[in-house]
Amino acid sequence: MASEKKVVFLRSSDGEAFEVSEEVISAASVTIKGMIDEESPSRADTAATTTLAIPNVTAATLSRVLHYVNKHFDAAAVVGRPDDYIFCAPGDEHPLARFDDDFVDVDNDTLIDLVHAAEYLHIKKLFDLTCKAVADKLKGRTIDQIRETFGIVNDYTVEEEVEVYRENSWAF
Amino acid sequence: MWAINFHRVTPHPKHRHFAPTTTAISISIDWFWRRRHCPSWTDLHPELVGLVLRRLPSFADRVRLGAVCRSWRRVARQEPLPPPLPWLTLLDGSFISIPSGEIHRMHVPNDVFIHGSVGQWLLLRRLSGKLELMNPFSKNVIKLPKSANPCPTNSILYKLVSLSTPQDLSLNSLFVVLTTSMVFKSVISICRPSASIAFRVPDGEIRDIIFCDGKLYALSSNKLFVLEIGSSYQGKPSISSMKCVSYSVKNVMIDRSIDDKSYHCVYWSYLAEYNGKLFQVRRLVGFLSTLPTKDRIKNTRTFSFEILELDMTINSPNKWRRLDTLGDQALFVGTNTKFLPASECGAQKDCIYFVCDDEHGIWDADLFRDSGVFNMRNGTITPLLLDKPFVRPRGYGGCPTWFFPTALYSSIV
Repeated sequence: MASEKKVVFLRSSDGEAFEVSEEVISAASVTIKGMIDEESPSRADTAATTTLAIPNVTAATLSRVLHYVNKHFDAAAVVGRPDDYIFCAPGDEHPLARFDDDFVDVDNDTLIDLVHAAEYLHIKKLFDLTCKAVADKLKGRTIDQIRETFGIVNDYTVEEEVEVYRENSWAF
Repeated sequence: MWAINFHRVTPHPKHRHFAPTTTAISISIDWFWRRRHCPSWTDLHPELVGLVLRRLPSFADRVRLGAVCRSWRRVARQEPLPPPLPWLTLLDGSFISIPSGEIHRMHVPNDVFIHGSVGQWLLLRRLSGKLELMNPFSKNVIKLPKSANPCPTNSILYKLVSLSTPQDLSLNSLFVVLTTSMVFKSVISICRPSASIAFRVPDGEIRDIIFCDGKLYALSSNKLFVLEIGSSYQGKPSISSMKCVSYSVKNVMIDRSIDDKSYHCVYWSYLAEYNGKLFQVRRLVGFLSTLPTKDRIKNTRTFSFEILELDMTINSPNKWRRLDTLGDQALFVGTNTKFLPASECGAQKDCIYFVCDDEHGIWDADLFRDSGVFNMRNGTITPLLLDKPFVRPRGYGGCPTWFFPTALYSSIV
């Protein structure tokens, strides 16, 4: 029994439970590691499996996050240099760079859900990756395109807008 | 009861870490469902906007993101950001971003020569030969005395370094201006906007000057000098001595066989500073030895770079020690050579970004004819720009020079 890997269940905001290795998720998520550590005294003398509520993350997002976590933090699956790839030069590709590119090749809503989930669960690598993906979506866009893409309302008064334009007219 | 509960648990976008009660779960699901259909990125936590800003290497992208709405603008104003990728000055008073090639028009006068930058200031030379500094964001101008350019008609190299913080330049700032004439005689002037005292370099041509760790250095083809700044008989600052601190073999034209072709090659040298340490960048350039003289300058190309660090503990006249790597830094080579942290500014680490800076008055030549990104790890050169821009030819000579924009808002420059 001792050699068997411990697992925990994560319950999404919409009630779906996901099984994940305790070791893997603890290495990935500071938030969940904290939850497990809090639970552990009461778990020591019981064989019951822990279920942790993740109230801020939907099942759709959580399943994506766990896919990422298993790929990046499961020691058996990780190859190469896990922490030194985000800013790799072209041609200097990390084995997981392709996986990461595909992982964040999603629509804007899914991406922002991933950013929020990575922030809430405190998964730094995923947070860096998703923030960079958001930045990539903003590259070379005009202000109106950014507003349109992300559904942002222009909340300036006419006077403020004139001032904003005057300040950096070269960029618009 | 429902109404109370609803008010209590309806998540405000800023309070995402709420703990739902049993009755709240259905509402929270509803909130996520609604959000999926009406996404609002304005809800992006201010810290997240800051983190996204840090990951945008283009200065223009950062400015635009910071102008989208009030809350993002507030973040952009407050967030201390790493340096963005630099721009290159074009000859018509505009700038180009690398690697996108986006062009920014900034109303820089178009009847001037641009000879590099100091902080947020461009060094301009009027047709009359007068030098001035201009901040393209604030449009402020600092005029230098006429005597700062002692050979206005036949100087080919201009370099200005500031002995004050470049961001706070004013009419009281102290500058050092290097001018080198067509017959390779150099003058180093130490000046305030009000007055200038020239120092004629006795030993021929100076290639570059730099202010590093409180010392003023000058580099000739084979010697490095330290210049002492004292006071003249009128009490004005002047150069009181020039002492050689490193001596190496004279830099002469060499013949190299590259890809089975014979090239005449030479090293161009630049000075750079990082963390109080002094570096020399040696750029190997050459042209096919079979080319007729008139085509040589236009067809000169760069083959490789060497980086040397000054180490005064070396027990030999030559105090330069060769480095194999720039580590996490990227180097931008030109009249104002500068190191930037590669990962933070979105550049490729251990790479040298270069442009052609050999003026020689070739007015019809391609501005980006000898530019690229040299990789220190594998010695390859890749293009600097994704697409070559079309730049309207202008009636004066000149080369693109690096400009390092840093301030997000012109009003606080």
